[in-house]
Amino acid sequence: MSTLTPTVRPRSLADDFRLRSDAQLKHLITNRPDLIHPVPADISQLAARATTSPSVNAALDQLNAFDLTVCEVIAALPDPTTSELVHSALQAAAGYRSDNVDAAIQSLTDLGLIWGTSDEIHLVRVARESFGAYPCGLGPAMRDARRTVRDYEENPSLVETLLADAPNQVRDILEQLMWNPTGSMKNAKRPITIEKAKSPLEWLLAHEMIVATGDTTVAMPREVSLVLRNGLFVRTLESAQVDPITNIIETIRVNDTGAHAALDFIRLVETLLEAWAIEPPSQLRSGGLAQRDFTASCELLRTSEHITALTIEVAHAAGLVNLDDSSRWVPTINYDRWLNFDDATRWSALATAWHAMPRASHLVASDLPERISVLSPGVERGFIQSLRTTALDILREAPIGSTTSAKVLVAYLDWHRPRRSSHVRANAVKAVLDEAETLGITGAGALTDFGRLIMDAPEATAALARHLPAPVDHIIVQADLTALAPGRLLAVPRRTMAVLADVESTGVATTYRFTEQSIRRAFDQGQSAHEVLTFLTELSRTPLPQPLTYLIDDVARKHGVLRVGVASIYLRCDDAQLISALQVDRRLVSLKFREIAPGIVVSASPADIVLEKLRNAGYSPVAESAEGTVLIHRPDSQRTNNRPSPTAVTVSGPSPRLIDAAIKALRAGERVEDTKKTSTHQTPRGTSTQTLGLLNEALASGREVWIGYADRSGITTERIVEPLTISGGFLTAFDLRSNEVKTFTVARITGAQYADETEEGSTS
Amino acid sequence: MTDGPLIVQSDKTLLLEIDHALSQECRQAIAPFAELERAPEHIHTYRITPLGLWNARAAGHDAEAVVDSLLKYSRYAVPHALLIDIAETMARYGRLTLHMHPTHGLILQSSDNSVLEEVLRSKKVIPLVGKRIDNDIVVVHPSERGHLKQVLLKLGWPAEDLAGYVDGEAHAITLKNEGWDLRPYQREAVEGFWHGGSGVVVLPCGAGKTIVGAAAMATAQATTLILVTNTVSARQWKSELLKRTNLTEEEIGEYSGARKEIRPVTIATYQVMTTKRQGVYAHLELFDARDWGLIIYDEVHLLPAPVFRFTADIQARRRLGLTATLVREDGMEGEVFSLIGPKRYDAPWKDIEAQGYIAPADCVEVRVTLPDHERMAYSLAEPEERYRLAATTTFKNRVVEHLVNQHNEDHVLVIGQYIDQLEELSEHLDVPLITGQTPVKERERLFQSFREGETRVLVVSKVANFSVDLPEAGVAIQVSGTFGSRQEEAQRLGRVLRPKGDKRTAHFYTVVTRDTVDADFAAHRQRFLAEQGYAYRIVDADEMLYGLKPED
Repeated sequence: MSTLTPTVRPRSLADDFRLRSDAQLKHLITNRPDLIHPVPADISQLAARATTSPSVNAALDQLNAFDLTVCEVIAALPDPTTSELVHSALQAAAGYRSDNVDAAIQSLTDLGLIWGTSDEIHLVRVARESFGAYPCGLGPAMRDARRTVRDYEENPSLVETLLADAPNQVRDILEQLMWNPTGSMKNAKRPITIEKAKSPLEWLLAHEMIVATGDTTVAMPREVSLVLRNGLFVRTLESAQVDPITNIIETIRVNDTGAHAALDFIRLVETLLEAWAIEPPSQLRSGGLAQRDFTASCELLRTSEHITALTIEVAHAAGLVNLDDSSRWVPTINYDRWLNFDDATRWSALATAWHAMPRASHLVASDLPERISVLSPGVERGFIQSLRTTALDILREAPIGSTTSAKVLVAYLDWHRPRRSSHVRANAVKAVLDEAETLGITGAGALTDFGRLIMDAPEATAALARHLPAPVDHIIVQADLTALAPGRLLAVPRRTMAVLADVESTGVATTYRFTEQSIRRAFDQGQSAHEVLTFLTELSRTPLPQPLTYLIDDVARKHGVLRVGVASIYLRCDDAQLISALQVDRRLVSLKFREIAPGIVVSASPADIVLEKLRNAGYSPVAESAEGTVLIHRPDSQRTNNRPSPTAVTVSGPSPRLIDAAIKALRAGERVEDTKKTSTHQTPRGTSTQTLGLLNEALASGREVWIGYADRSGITTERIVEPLTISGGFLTAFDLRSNEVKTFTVARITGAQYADETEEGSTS
Repeated sequence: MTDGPLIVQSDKTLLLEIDHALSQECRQAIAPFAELERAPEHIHTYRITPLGLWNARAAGHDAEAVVDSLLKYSRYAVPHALLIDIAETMARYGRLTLHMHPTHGLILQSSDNSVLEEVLRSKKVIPLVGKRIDNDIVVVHPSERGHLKQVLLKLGWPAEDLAGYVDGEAHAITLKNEGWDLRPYQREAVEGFWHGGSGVVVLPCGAGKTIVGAAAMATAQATTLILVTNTVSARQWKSELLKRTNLTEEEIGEYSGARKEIRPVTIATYQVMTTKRQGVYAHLELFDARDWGLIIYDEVHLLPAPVFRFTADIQARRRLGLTATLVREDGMEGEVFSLIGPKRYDAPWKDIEAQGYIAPADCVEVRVTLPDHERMAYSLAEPEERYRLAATTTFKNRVVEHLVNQHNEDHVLVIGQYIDQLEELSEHLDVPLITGQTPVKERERLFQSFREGETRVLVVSKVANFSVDLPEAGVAIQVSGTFGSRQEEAQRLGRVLRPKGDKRTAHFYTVVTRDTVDADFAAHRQRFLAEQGYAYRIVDADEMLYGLKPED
């Protein structure tokens, strides 16, 4: 098989591995990287590891539906089996093609799941067990135990003859049992003769078409199943791959949809973090965000739980938000930098973070029995990142404009990785596609130009910049006190509008509503009626409607009529009536106003409470400083330190250099083993001069050296190393077995030999 | 990407730019499935709701057509998630259908077995259905047809009712086309209703809803039960029917507190239908008194809950709902959809005004300031008393007087909520007053004298909110209202919207007290007007009365 020369018959998996070329071993390790974590000492260790349950299961997980079926057939055949038998077991199955089956056997061999030669195929024991007691639904073999069974096997027409006279339901029961060989039956072991059989089951037992396997269990013998199935081990061999592409659409629509989604997502992140900057939510003791804060964020963003969770997780992954010293989630200093980037750059920062984050935000919104909090460790899922890569790779390799859907993508993955097929994966696939659409990595279901370049942030930024709609520089103000920005407003007016008016509808465009509160907020932040009117007149494409100018003037008229001081709280007003009204106002009783001079009252309550109560009661006071000037009120925006920039999880296998080193180490280990067997002494010995000389020589030539090394307690072990430097009495070398660079004290090296000369060394 | 008039927002609102060349075309394309939310001067806002989408399905539009219109008129890329959501929502309508089965009677049928399974698991559905006939069909108790539709709508699987209608007792009704014709939109409204079977027609006040009702009766050719808000409006329906159709006095009955006549065409008031005697609704059997072929609900947005309950039982009869607005202050729009039927026709006010069928209106808010002593009283008042105090300030009397004098050529209605205030005003202005206490005869006499021009100014309470036809009224002044009720505002505006002989503009004044809850409520109500496209101006009472800052 691996050697394809039947003359050399491997006796074990390790033997088979030993016969493999470096290239073959390289293929094995590349596809089963867990085998060299850490690097085994020699091939026997490698083989031992390749037969452990986790490793075999990981290898089986990688098989596609076709290879897995071939593997199951091998498991159903007695060990060892032959390539010929495998073919004959599959020949009658739908979708059988001889070359495909050969290719499957080859790939199972390459993965180290089967070994031997084509006329003696062994399946690794753990792999065989993973298919359960009855692979391919074939029950226990009975030909040796039961004569009748052997008769059936040797003369298949006998079964048909007997069935012709069988009771009615017998055939139905056989239909069921021939693919699922076990069933239950009361008192199965009772002796029954053909004459005494009454029920269909008894008839079957009497004819030994089913056999008792316990007091209450029966099974159909494998031989009977095969006769009934006409020798079929499996009904079909699925070699047809599902096409993951559902449609191809115009690229212009893809990019436009994506660009708008990208802008929308930036807006979500910005809206969220602006709110968190003012009122940072606290971290739960168990990690993550409290449900209450999460619901508040959903309401703030006016979007689904999934998208809200995605926004929060991506903002965190992009390093825009982090915990501060009092365990509150606060925007970072990076957030300020991010705010000042252009839209395209901001997007690519978010998109790259999404692509690399090992977090499955959709779990937050799922109906799992136990709720998972956003930003908690529970959101972490290792597989989600590779699923994203897989999904995007499929789109990337398809023609431009190709769309996919969760349904076909799940079907596609189910064929490629049948053992990983699950509800969890199906849900995750849907979530990944939804998230890609939300971020604008896909648009209308197809990969956008900028989504395609997501691995390369600057390129992606440039691509998005080409597709972003031009920002608008005007609004349209209407008499119902709303204003519309018919696109994305330029940054500066956008921020002013956010203060002046409440956002009513969001999307590509923004609808604002002016209210008394929103105008007052602008005044509170230091703007004057004149400034507000000038700003709006310049920004609006239509003349300002009278109700709006009236509203602004009206708020301005009332604004600041009342003034509240901080120094042991005074409240003054020129309007004596109002002052008296305040004192008798029931809603303000708790403030205990006391008039100390005409038009001036004081209160013991702190200024903020006084302000709040007055405003709640419908008054419009302003705070005053000690000098009597108006204090400008602006909510404090908070920041914390940057989170160390998140490191992408590497999902690629070991580097080629590491694989080469591992194979080198394995070969070296083999040599050590061989040496052990043949050499007269355990470890090399020599004088320190000899040793140092050889080491220096090896350093120059880059050859591997076999050394004996005494540890602190004096026990000598052997190593195979590749010297890197020698200085100050220390040897720094690459230890081929532990696969790391180590430092050795030269004085403790008992001796050294070239690794490839150990044979000669031992004989000399 | 087109340079279309429409902006599709990801939060399911649609913004339509009115000044765009394609706006009219686009409006027609989106009107079947999107609800008009606001129609101010430049940008109209529509919203896509499940009810709206199902209305569209009921009218025969499919998801593909909806998506196509959005893509065709949208200025920017349409959010993908929205398109998927539209397709999914629309696909939910009609998966379940109600049919009449030749042997089993009323059945609920599904084209998708899993949907039927899902709804049959609901505890609310179980008592409404009978035997399961096969995988896709279950028998429905005929009396539960309406309840089942209500429940299914709440479950998000609205059923399409294809079970048909009983013809009812035939009765010949024809329209008398003497010097008038059905207006195009009235004709469209009747056709839309008739093809749909049952449903609601939305037309502005003054656009001739009564005539739509009469035309529907002429199409049905059957005995008809008409439900209206009050006795005055019942009489008005009667006189309108006598004028517009061949029906005679003897064929039309009035079923109200005063009279209990049941005739081929019977007009009943909501009030009498919901009167309880010994804990039961004594008059609900009116629904079964004859084999009605058509039931007309006037002012559907005011339909009281007991009538809904009874309507659920008469789903086999054709039902026509008439209203100026589907906005219900109680949020029962879903009940209207499932029990009366989907919206079959609507036309924005401004469109009908542009066609000259309703008068243009100038809306003005006059702000008065509370005098100092009243301001003190207001501050001291309990919250529930505040509105009354603010709304009934005596200062308003001067403003009303000024306005009445200003429009000395026109017919003026002064409308208010509080009887004390109205009495005071009536005395102050020396004009007649109509309230709920005024005997019906006296009311009709006064209205008649107002129509004929003998009485120029009337002070009325909320009895005149609805269905009182006063075509000559050209000025309405409202001094107080039912808090922030938007539909009341629409009704009151409707009083002055009848087209005037000389094409003059109608005036609608709202007098509010600044810096009080009165102003807050007014703002809420005016938002509705502004959303209908009626821009309003705000003037200060002081300026108006004393010319402190001369008005233009």
